[in-house]
Amino acid sequence: MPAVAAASMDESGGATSSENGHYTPQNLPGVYQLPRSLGEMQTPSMVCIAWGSGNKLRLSFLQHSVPAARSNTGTEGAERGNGNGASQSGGGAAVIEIELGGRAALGLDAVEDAEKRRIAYGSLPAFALLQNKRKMLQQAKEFSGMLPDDWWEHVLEYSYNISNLLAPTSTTSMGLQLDKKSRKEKQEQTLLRAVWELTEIFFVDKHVTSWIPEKLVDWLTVYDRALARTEPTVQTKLVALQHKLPNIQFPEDDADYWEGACSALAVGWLDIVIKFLRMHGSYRLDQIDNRQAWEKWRSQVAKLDNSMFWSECNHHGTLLGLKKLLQILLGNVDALITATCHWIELLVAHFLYIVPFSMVAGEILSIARKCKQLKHVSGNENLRELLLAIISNDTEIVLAECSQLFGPWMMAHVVELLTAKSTHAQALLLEERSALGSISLEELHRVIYAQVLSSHHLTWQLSPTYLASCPKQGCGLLENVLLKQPVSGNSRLFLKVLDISRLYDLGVVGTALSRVVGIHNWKHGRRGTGIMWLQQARDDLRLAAIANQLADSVTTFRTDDIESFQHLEGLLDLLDSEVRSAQGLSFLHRYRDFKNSLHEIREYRSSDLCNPKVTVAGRHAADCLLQLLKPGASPLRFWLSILHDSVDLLEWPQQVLLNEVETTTLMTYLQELKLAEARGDVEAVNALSSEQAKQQLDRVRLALALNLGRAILQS
Amino acid sequence: MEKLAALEATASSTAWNYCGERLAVGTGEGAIQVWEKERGGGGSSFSCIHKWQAYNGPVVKIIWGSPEYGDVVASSSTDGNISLWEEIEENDQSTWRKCTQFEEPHTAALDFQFGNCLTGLKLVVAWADGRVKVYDMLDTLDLKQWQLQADFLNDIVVDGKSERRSYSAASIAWRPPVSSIQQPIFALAYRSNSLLHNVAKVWEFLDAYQRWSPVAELRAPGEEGDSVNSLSWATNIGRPYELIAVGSSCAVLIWHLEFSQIAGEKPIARRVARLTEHNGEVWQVEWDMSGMTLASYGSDGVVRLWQANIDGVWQQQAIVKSAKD
Amino acid sequence: MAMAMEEWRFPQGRAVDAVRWLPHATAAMDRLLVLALWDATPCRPSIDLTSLCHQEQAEAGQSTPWLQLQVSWPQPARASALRVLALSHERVLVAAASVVGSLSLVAIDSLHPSRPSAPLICPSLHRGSMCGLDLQSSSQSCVSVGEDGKINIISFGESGLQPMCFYDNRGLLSFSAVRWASPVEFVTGGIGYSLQWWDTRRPGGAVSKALTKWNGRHGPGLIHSIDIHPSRKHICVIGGSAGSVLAWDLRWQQEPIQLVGDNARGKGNLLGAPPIESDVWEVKYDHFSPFSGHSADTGKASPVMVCSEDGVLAVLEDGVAVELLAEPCAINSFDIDPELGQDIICALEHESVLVMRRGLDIPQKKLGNLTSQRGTIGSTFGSNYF
Repeated sequence: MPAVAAASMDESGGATSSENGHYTPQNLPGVYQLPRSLGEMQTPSMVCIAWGSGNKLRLSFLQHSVPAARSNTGTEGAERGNGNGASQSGGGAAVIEIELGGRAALGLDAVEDAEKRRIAYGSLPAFALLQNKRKMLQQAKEFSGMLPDDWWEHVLEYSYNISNLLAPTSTTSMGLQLDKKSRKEKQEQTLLRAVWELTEIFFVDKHVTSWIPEKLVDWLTVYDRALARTEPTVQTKLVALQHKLPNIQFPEDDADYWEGACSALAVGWLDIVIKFLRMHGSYRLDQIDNRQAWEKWRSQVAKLDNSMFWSECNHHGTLLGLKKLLQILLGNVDALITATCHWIELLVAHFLYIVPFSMVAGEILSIARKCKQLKHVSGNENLRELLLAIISNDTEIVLAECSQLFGPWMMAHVVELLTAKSTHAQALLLEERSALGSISLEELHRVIYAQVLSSHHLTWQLSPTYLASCPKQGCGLLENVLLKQPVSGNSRLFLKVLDISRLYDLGVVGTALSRVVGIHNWKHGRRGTGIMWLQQARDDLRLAAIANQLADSVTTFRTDDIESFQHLEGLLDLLDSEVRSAQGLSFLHRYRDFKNSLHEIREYRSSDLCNPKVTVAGRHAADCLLQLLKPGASPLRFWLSILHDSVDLLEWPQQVLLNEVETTTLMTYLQELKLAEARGDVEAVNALSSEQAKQQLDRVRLALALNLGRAILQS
Repeated sequence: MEKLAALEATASSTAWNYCGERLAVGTGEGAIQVWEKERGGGGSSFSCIHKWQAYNGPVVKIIWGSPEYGDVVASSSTDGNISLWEEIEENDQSTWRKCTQFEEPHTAALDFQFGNCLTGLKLVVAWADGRVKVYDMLDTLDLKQWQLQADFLNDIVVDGKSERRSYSAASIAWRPPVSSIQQPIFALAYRSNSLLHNVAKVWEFLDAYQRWSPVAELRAPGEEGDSVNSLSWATNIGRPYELIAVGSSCAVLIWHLEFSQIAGEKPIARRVARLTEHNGEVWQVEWDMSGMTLASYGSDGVVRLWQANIDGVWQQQAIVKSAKD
Repeated sequence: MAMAMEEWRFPQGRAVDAVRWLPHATAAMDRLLVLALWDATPCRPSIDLTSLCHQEQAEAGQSTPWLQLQVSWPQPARASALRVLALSHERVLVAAASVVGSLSLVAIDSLHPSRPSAPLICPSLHRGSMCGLDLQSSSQSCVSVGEDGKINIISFGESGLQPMCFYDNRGLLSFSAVRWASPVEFVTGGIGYSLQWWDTRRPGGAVSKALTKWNGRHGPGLIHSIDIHPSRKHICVIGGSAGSVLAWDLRWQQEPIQLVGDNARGKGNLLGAPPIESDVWEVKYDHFSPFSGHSADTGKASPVMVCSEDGVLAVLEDGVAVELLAEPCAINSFDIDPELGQDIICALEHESVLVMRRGLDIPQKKLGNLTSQRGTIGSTFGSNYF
C-alpha cells in the first residue's frame, strides 16, 4: 500500500542535453548554455577546445588573438575570428569545463553526486558477479555461446541486487535529517526503481508470466507515488485529500471524499477505501474487503445495486457516493476512467474490475494501448512511452526511452534485463555492427558508461570492471583511462593505477606510467624515487643516462665529503644487481666500493688503530681499484681521479700494497690517458686541462714511480 | 559547468598536459604561465604557479611534450622560432628553464607537434616555406640535445617547375599511441595559395626506405579548394579503422583510414561525413578520449559536438553557446 | 562456518582517507572516531570527529548504529596520514599529515567532544607529501617523514608547536612511513623496502639499517606502514608493495622476515597463491584475543592485521591468514579499538566507513587462500577476452 503521507511533488527541470541520443535521429541537439558571467564577456575572438578525462570538455575563451606566424615569404595569414592582435578591454579570458551528459550521467537528474556514486559503487559487484557467471557458464558449454535456459534466474538475482540498491538509503546511516532536497532525490530514484522493476517483471521473470496483472497491481501500489512525479495520479489526489479531510466534520457531504474513495477502489487499494469509509458519519463495517469469488460477489453487488437499501438511504451524498463505488465494483468503464488518473492506474483498474485476472500477454498490450489513449494528458511523454514499451516487450523503444530518461548508468545495466530471455533483444543488442566500429550495442553502452565513470576522479576505478566485459574496445579505452590519470603528483593514486594495470594484464601501461613517474621524480629532485620507478619500468636507456650523471657527481666528491657520499650510497643500493648491465652503473658500484674502502682506511688511521685491520682494508681497497681498472670498466674521463685516489695505496707506509704487475697496470692507464690527450680526445683533454689536474698528474706519476721501485725491490 | 580559471585578458594560447591537471598559457605580451590545480585538492580552481617572460612578441602557440620526458612545453612566437622549456628542481624550488630553440633562417614555424616513438621523442615542425622537419631528441634525459632526423617537402614539385607557393598555416596530428606505442605516422596539412595543395596527407616513416613517405591523402573529389585549418586523429580503442577529423574552410570532415595488414600496402582513406552546420570556417576539431565524440569550433562562434548514431551516421548532438544568443 | 561478526556500512559521500578510534572515555556514552575526509567538488578536505551511536532500545531487537558528526575541522589539503594519542583520560590528541606537507594537531576533550577547539597547523614542514607521522606522549613530540627525504621532530608542549629538522637527504631517498619505538627511538621506512632505526640523541644518520634484499623483485618496494610490537620495541612489522608484510628484529636480523607475500619464508608457508597481491596499506599488531579477552605474551609471533588495495582485511598469525573482509574495493586504512580490540573500523575506497565487531569466543574461519573479490572481477578480463 502506498503511504499516503508524502511531500508535494514538483516537476524537475530535466537535462538540457541528450548526450547520448543514439536512438532518436530526429531529436534536436541539446544546448549547453554558458554561464552569464561569460556572456557578459565580449564575444571571444577564439575558443580553444580540449578534452579532459571522460566526458569533460574544456574550453578556453580567449579575447586576445594573434595572427598565425608568417613566413617572410608568406602572403596572407589565416586571420582567425575578429581579433586584431591587440588586447581588448573588458573581461579577461576564461577556461571552463563542461561535463557532457553529466546531469543525467547516472540517470538521476536531480540526485546528488554523492548518491549517484553510491549507486555506481553498489552496482559494480552485482554487475561483475553476473559477468563472471556468464563467463563460467559459457566456458562450461565450450564456447557454444549459448546461455542455459535458466540464465534468467541469474539475471533476476542481479536485478534484485540492483533494485535494492536503488531503494533510498536509510537516513540514520548517513546521520542526516531528511530535508526537502533529499526527499526529491529519493523520488527520482524511486522512479528509476519503478522502471527497473517493471522491466524485470516483463523481461526477466519467467515465473510471473501467468500472473502479470497481479504483479502489475502490486507494482502500482509501490510506485504510484513515483509516477506522480511527472503527472497526476490517484496518489496525488489522495495526498491532497489527506490534508483536507481531517478538517471536515461531515466528509460525506464533500464530493471529493467520494471521488477519492472511488479512485482508491479503482486501483484496488482496499485499505484506503476502508479508511475512507470509516470517516463516514454513519461508519459501519463494510464488506468490500475481499475480492474472492469474483462472479458470486459481482452478482451480489449487482443485486445490491437494485436493492431496496437505496430507498432507505436518506443522505443524498452517501447515496450518490455509494452508487459510484458500486459502479466501479461493477466495472463501469466511464466510472473507472473518471476515478483514475494515470493510464497505468486505468490499466490496473481494468484488470481488477473488467477483465478477470487470467489472460494472455497479447491482451494486456491491447488494453494497455487503449488505456494510454484514454488517459492522454500532457505529462512526460517519454515516461509514458517507456512504460508502454516495457509492458509490450518492445526492446527498441525501451532502449530509446531509457536512454532519453535515464542515461548511461541505466543503459549499461538494463541491457542485462532486456537480454535475459528475449531472443529478439539478444539479437538486437549482441549483434556486432560495422557502423559502430564492429561492436555490439551492449558493448557500446558499457563503453559509454565507462567513459562517464572515468570523468570523475573517484569513480574512474569502477570503469575497468565494465571495460573488462567489452571484448573489442574495452582494453583500448582502459589503457586510455589509465594513461590519463594524474600519476606524477600523487603517489597513492599511481600505485592504484599500477595495481589495476597488473590486474588486467596491461603491463605496457604500468611501464609507461612508471617511466612518467620516474622521470618526474628524477627531474624534481627526488632521485631515489625516480630511479626506483625507472627500474620498475626496466628503462635501461634512461637508467644508463642517470648513471652517467651520477658518476659525474660522485667522482667530484672529495673523499672526506662522506655525508653526500652516504646519501648517494642509498641510491646505489637501489640501483642494485638488476641494472648492473648498464655500464655506467656497474662502474658506479665499483667506484663506490673503492671509495668506501678508502674511507674505512682513514677511519682506522684516525682512530689510531694501527692493527692488522688497516692492512686488510688496504688490500681490499687495492682489489677494488684493480676492479675499476679492468678493461672497459671505467669511462676514460674518470681515470685521473681514480689514479689520484690510489696515491694513498701507492704510498702505503707499512708495506707494498700493489705489486710490480699491478703498478704497471696503473702506469699503462696513465700513459693511455696522456696518449688520448695527445690524440685530441675530448674526454681526455677536458680531464687534463685544469691546473689542478696537472698537479694531480704529477703527484700520481711520482707515487707510481716510487711504488714501482719499492715493488721491484721487494720482489 | 564550472569555471576552472580566470585568465588574463591577454591570454592568447592554452594547452592542457597529459592528465588535464596543468594548463600552459601563452599571453599576448610574450609570457608563459603554468596553471595548476591546488595540490592535494581535486577541486576545480586553478591558479598560476609559474610565470616567465619568454618573448617580446605574443605567444602564438603552446603545446606540452610527452610526460615521459618530464614537464616539457614548446612554444612559438611571431618571430617564428620554437622554444623548448622544461620544469626542473633548483635550490629546492621548481623552476622552468629554456632547453633549446628551433629556428630556420627566413621562415617561420606554422605548426609543431611532439610524437613519442620507440626511438625517442620526436618533434615535427611544419615550416612556412613548405618544408617539414623532424627533430630527434638525442639523450633521453637531456632536452637540450636534438638532431635533425628528416627534412622533406610536403608537396612534390610538379613538372620540375619551382612554382612560387606560399603557406599561411599548417596543422599536424600524430597517430595516437596504441598499447602505449606510437608509430611514426602523422597527418599534415598546409594552407597555401595553391588550391591544389590544400589537401591533408598522412606521412609514415618507412623502415625499409629509412624515410618519410606520404601514404594517404585525405582528398575528396570536387573539394580540392577547401583549405584545412585543423586536424585531429582519434585514439583507436579497437576500431578496425582510424578516425581523422578535418576542420576545413567550410565543413567538419570525418575520415576513416584503414591500415592494411599486409606490409607495404597503403592505407585506404574514406570520407564518412561532411558536416556544414558551422556555415563557414571550422577553426578547430578535437576528439575525446575514446573517439566517440568530436568537438568543433568555427567562425559562427559556436562549439558543436558530434556523434555517430547506431547506423554510423554522424550527427550534431549538442552545441555550446553563450546565454545571450 | 560463518564468522560471528557484525558489520555496518556508512556511506560518506566523500573519499575516506584514514580512520582512527579514539580511546574510549569510560564516562562517555558513545564511541568516538576520527575520519580524514576529502570532498571532491568543491574541494573540502576535513578531519571529522564522529560518534558511533547505538539506539538504546531498538524495537526489532537489533539496533543499527549510526554516525553522528561532532566537529569538523577544515584542512589545508587531503590527508596522507592520521594518528591519535591519549594524553590523559579525557584529552586526546589528533594529528593529521597532508599531501602538501603540512601538519595539523587538535586536542579533543572526549567527554565533551563537540566542544570546539582550534587546530594548530604547521604549514610546509615537507616539500611534497608528508607520508608518515607518529606521536609520542612522554617526549611530547611528533615525528614526520616525507617524500622530500626529510625527518622532522615537532614538539607539542605547552609552548605550541616547535618543529625541528632532524635529518634531510634533500630528496635523494624518500621516506614513506615512521613509527616511534621508544621516547627517543623511531623506525622509518622508505623506497626499496629500506628500514632505518633512529635515535634522537644521535642525529646525523640512522643508527641501524636493514639490508634491502627485496628490491626490484616484486613491486617497487615501498613501505606504506610500520607498527612496533606492543611489548618488544625491537621488533617491528611493515606492510608494503606487492602484498609484502615483513617483520624486522633489530637485534638479530640484518634482513627482515617475510610474513606474507611472494616468497613468504619461515614457518607455516601459505598454500598456493599469495593471499594479497596488491599494496598493503596499513599494518597493525592485533591485540584482540577471542578467548581470554586480553592478549597474552605466549612467545609466539603476535598476530598482525593488514588491509590491502585488493580489498582484503586479514589477520596473519603463524603463517596463516584469517580473512575478515573481502571487499570489491580497496581498504585504505583501518584501526582496531584500543581497549578490547573487538571493534574494527575501515576506510573503504568506495567512499564509506565500515565498522565491524568480532565475536568474543567463536572460532574464526581460517583460510589458506584469501579470495580477493577484486581479483575475481579482474580475472574476467585478462584470460579470455584479450
